[in-house]
Amino acid sequence: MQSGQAPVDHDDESRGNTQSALDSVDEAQLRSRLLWTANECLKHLEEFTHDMEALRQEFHRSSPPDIVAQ
Amino acid sequence: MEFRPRQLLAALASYGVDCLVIGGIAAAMHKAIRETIDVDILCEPSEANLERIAVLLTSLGARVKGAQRPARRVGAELLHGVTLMTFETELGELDVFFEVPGMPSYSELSQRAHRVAINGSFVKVVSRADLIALKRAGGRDKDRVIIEELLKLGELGAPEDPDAA
Repeated sequence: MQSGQAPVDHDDESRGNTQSALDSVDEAQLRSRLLWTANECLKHLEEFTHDMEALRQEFHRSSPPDIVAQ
Repeated sequence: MEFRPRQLLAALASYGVDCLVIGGIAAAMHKAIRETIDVDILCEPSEANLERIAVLLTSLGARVKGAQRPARRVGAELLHGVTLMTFETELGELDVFFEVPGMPSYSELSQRAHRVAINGSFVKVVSRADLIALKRAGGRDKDRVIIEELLKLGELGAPEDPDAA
């Protein structure tokens, strides 16, 4: 390697993706969950998963086939 | 495929399966709620427990994930000597672990686990500290955000026991 040349980091992209995800950790949102029981947490998870699935289905219904294939 | 984790956990409890909830569902029970599509359990590996798991799987119309043939009776012999087997059931995907590389034994994790009420039944969920260790042992990039959330929840004073709200 030449002097001053930055080392090639093949994990840069995945680190960038992870950093974006870490940025999405929302302290206020976490605080709002502090009083939830485990059962309530799972209820929210089920609702969230259901909503995500509905969004996916809506995307498949409304998008051209070439976009969906990607 | 349906995904009803609370019903699936209640079924595990009602069939007397000795197991710990791990993975994304355990994270959610510890208040780190991220989308997940399966229930991961770490099971006690005795013959009697394998029988109970097999009976439960049969009752839920389970088949090995990806298998083409329709659901049929699951025998305990299917579970002998495996570290992980993934099933599709009427209530969603169930990942059955008997060992997680790099982690303490089932009995050790079980001693630190919490007993939690779900839909009127009691299940054991791995402790927050052990869940963080499990996620770290998995080494998956996507788990890093869950680890961060679990650590943050600890800093914010979330109780160790998921039901001690």
